[in-house]
Amino acid sequence: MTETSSGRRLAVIGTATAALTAVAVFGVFFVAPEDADQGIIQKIFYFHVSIAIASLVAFGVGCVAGIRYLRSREQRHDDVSVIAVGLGLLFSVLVLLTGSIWAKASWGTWWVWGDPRLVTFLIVILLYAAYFVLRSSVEGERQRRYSAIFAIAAFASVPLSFYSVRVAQSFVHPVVFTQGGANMPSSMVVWYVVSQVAAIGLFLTMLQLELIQRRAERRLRALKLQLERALA
Amino acid sequence: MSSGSQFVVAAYAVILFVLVMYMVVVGMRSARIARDAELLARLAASPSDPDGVAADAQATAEAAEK
Repeated sequence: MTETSSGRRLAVIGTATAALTAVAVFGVFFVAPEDADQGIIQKIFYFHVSIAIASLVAFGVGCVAGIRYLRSREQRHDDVSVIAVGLGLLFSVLVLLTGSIWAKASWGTWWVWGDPRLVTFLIVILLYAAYFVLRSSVEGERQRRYSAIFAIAAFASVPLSFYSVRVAQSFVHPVVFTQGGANMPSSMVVWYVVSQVAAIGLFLTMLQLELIQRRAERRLRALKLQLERALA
Repeated sequence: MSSGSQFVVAAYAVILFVLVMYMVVVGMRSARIARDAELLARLAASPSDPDGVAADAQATAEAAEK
């Protein structure tokens, strides 16, 4: 892949994401109706859930890239995996922060230890934080191989978190999307979908941006080494 | 502003803050890459650079990329 095509892809995804985010913010605050039960507090839902799903998508991408690395041993798959896991972690922390604010407004408390969704999501975050501890403890090919294996294994916790609330019949955290459809009017679902696409677009933009930076850094390192040897 | 609105503003401010901080970090990294590239360009263009070293270095970097 050439740098030009990577840059063009970044420009396209970035522009589309920026436009979608602007539309989503406008729709959420000026068009979507207020929830009859929670009032304006429910507006947190649109980006809280969108970012949560985007973080799970990021962990999924990290897992798939890990599998591809183990099969091909190509550096670029390791790059995608580590960046995706990092972004997934960043999004997860955002989910935790916005969720706590929503919990305080809605339930009167920042955190409920007895809720399976909250606790399993925290476990997912801690598990993926351990990914970076592992990565910094080894070097070279072993670092890439161990990271790939960890990214694949850690992804098992994602469906666990997603389904925990359904299996355990959560007492506090609501389940909006069920097998019977969404528990909200279609006028809200539309703006949720726009927010969701914008959040995934944000992830893809950040992924592309960091991939370009990583490649540039690697090329520069190789150049520096070559020149240092030649000029020594 | 109602109490509910304050929580909504706080939640979206957190998202905005984290995104801005992310952009600052990415921007700083870009600046470092630009500085390194500039330094390498100066080194490659220096008179002590033997013929073809810069071209060889470029080829090595591209090979490393693949």
